[in-house]
Amino acid sequence: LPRQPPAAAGSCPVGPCGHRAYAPPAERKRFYQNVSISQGEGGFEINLDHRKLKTPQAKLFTVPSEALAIAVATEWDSQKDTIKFYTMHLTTLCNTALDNPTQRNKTQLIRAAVKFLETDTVCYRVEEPPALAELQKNEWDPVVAWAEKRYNVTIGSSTSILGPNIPASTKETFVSHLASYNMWALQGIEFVITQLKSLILSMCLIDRHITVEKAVLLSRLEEEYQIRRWGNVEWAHDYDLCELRARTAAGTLFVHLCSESSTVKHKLLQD
Amino acid sequence: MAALGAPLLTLRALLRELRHSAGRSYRDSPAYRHVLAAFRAHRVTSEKLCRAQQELHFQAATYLCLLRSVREHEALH
Repeated sequence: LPRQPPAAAGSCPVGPCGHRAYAPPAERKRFYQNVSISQGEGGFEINLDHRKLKTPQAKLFTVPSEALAIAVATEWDSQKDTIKFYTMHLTTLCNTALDNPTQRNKTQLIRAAVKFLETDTVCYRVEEPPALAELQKNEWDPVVAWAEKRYNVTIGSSTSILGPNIPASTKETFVSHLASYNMWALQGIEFVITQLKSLILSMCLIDRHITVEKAVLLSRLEEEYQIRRWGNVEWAHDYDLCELRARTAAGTLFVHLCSESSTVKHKLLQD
Repeated sequence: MAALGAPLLTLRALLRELRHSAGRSYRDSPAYRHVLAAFRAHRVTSEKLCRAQQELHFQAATYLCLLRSVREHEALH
């Protein structure tokens, strides 16, 4: 028989074979009435009734920023009869930051993030059809130009299957820029990059040069073009779009809330 | 800075999303109070915004996008 979950509510029950998978189940009944925030030693905690929220690895759920705690609490309080974990993106990001399930250190995270530059969406151009090539040029050239100017680097773009040739100095610049972020913010940045499939769009977004909606649109430029050309399965398209927007928005907000020095408890963010 | 439109519109839309998710007791919810307090403290309502105000406005617009997208995503699920 599987063990009973501990009295303090964890967000992940034990799986059928007894061991714990990292991802929580898709849905579970709401088991708490009240959600509140309290301030503990390491930061802000979430209380579900009298129980303190824990991560999937049973660590105490503590976040460095009050605003972030409020947003997480709001996610939990918004749940109706069933808890829809797949909509709780901020909670998920905090769990990842606390548990670090992939066991990556700061250097590895930065390396993973900068590696995306080699396959950056906005650098990969088509030659055919001309309308799409034109659209990519009009929409993506300004973003690449912005990044080149902002970071004083050369990036370029390419129609080759190998992509652009990114100079080592460009990669180094981004490595040292990302190193200025703390571990929590970096988890958020890496998350946004994997969602948008672009380091450049992610930096553009995190630097507040474009909105989430615009970043997502630019990330999905080819899809949007094909949809306008060929039509789409409306429901499926909107579903993907909403999910990408939600995740990207969550990641961006997470990065900003974990970076604000005035509201952040530094002890928790030490690498 | 991204083109965000009028801060008041963002604030109103954000408060509307929070009302929608919180139900009847929305005015007491921490998020509702926090957002209102932040906007008041920074006086993010006028046309010209200083950097800190712009950052707050961007944060609010991002949070609005999150709440809206989650609601729309759930409706389609």
